[in-house]
Amino acid sequence: MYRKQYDPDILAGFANPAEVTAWLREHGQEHWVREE
Amino acid sequence: MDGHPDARCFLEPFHESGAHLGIFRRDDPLTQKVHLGDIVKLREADTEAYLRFLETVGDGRYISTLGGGRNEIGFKILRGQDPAAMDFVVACRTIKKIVLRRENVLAAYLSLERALQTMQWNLKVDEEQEFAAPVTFHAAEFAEFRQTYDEFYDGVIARLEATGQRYLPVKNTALHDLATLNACAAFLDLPPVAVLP
Repeated sequence: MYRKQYDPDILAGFANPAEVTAWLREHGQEHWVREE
Repeated sequence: MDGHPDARCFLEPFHESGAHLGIFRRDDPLTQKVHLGDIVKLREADTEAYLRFLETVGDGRYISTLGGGRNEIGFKILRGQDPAAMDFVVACRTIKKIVLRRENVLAAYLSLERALQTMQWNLKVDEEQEFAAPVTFHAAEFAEFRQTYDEFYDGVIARLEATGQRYLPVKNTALHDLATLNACAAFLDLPPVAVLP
């Protein structure tokens, strides 16, 4: 059985998720917070 | 793609640390002979000859017990691996291209940072999560990564289109769907499979 190769919770991988969220919002890429 | 009964997809034959073909067993002297032989030298000397050699392994002419006998022989080559080989592969019209692109560039960045941290490059996402510490996001570094990432894929696709080559784009999130496997099979002129291997 294959395991999923994508990350359902990207923000959880970062030590500073608030900065990631701010960057995503600034660049209109909020959908990148999860991979599905 | 390696799960298709008529296809053999080598793992990473252009990996910088060696020819990672994904079919050799350490306990088998025959496979060790192939694995430890001169194939990396061949790779460095002549990309085309190296690919012809992989073809003979994959279709069973070299060692028939190594999962040979497949009709379509393929391989993965990743961004950053052997630029000369990449140029050859992209230009070669007889090699059919399936372009696997991770659309979520932030996920690709996170995965790379985890790999650099753990020095493990083939971990699944859940293994990355287990073994890697949280990654510190640096906006400028990520912007540079994103630009390089997009330039690579856009450049490959532009070259394929400029030379009139058909290619099949595949999203990583659809990688293990039956529909995706069969789309790849159809692209390679192989019959569909009924279930995922």
